[in-house]
Amino acid sequence: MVESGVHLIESRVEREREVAALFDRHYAPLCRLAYVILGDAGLAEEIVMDALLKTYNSWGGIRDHARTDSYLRRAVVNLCRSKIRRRVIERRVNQETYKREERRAPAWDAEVHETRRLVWEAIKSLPERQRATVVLRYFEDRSEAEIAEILDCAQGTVKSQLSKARAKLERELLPQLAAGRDA
Amino acid sequence: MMPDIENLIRSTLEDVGNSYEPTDTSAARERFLQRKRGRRFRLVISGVAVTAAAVAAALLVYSVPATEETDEAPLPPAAASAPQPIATIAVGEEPTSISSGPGGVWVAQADSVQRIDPEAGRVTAQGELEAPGDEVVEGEGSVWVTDAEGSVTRFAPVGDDLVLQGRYSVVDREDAHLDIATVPGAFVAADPERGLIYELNIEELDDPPLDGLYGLSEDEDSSIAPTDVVYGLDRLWLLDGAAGNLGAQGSGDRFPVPAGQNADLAVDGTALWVAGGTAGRVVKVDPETGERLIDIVVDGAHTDLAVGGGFIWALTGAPDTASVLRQIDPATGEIVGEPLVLEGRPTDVTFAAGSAWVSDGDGGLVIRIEPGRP
Repeated sequence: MVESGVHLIESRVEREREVAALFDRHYAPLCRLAYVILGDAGLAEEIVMDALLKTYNSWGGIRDHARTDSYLRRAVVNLCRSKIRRRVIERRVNQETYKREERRAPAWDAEVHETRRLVWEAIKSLPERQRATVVLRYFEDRSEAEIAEILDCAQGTVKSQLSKARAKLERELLPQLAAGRDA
Repeated sequence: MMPDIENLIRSTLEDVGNSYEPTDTSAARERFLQRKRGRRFRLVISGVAVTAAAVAAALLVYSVPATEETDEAPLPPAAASAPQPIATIAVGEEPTSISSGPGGVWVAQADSVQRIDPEAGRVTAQGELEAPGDEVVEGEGSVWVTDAEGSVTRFAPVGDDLVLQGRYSVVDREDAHLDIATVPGAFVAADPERGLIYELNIEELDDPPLDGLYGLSEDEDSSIAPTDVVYGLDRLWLLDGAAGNLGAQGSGDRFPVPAGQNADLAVDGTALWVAGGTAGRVVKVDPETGERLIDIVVDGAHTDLAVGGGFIWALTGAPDTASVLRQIDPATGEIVGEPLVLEGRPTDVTFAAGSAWVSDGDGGLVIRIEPGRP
């Protein structure tokens, strides 16, 4: 009885270490990913906390722990997409929420970063799946195969989402940037 | 020469990412570990059948000084033909709502949901809430409690224990008041501010797909902004109290009803009942035609309804006036006996185990009421 008690305590301590390590390894990069998708620091940290807890709670059901990175990213990206979808509804019916989002945007230096501001505004106007795909590709430098695994879709879908997103951004941005240069 | 769009995207996103650092990572780490431990602790406690919840509930019962009764206490009898209080049960805090189901009578309050066992006449289980409780309903094998942060906490009643199953965000704002119900396979919440019905798919809650969506879906029907929802007669019924509109989900039929703020909706075996809140009426409505079959004038600015024991129970009240409970014959609309005047601040009514049960927000009590005889 004593021996099994010792084992139990040891395994619990080991588990605590694992969980703490899981947090240390993933928290900051995941927050950054969520922030770049959403542009809202508070919300990004809240989402990452939920994703880590959810993954921890499903730990026993995860067959391949080597893929924890993918699972976590999938949870974070999907929570972000869910938030974006909900905000679309909120914007329709609740102007205050929309204003709050604008207030939390990064403090751009207007002169130096005008181009960046325009580009990011355009990225944020993309549909939620295209937005997540673009961030995973160009911010996290993920391959199409990795993005497909995170978004749980076919590689062809990733390819077409990226292509549509690029085309839309080009359509919106290039005339604005050209006008800025002419001025 | 125009810049390459891919380079622009990449450098912009890098700038955005570099402009941000997570705030206080060590505090977040501690919060994470605490939430993880807290969840395990709650599950372990309930899993090993240590009835801590029941003990805590009992302690609460004993700690309420306003009521010397620890369990049920006899009150003076009222007129024989009228409904009369037969017991009070201390629940310790200010109950906001009360409902009933196969597991017993459920009371939501500031920091917990409590189960009253009608047979024992006392609180036998308690589940902790992370935010002040609002509405409670039992259905689809679980007890669901909404809270002031727009979330719903789900418990499984197992014997005398309440096992925490999860807490899910329904709306992203505080002080949201959602009316709730269960339908086969789902929990639903009506959000009058957004004009939305939120639906949590129970199968997906039980087997979450690791996507964080919790099976949440939204149904927007521009013809109605539901303040109340109830499931019955194989349909989910929606009441827009403010506009005085009543109808079933997915149906285009909308019936005008006399209703205002703080209205309530109930279904008996054949008909719909609307207590009109500030409209000061209780009406029985034909679910197929919308015809008003019974129309009773009541006073009061807020109303709650319950169905049970062959009667409709209508609780009405207004600020600075005593609340009144009416026992209504659903066939004739006649009031059984004299309306029962209740002191304190009654907040809600339900029916279970042959009695009506009224929660009292001022006294931290639940009052058990025996039906009158027609």
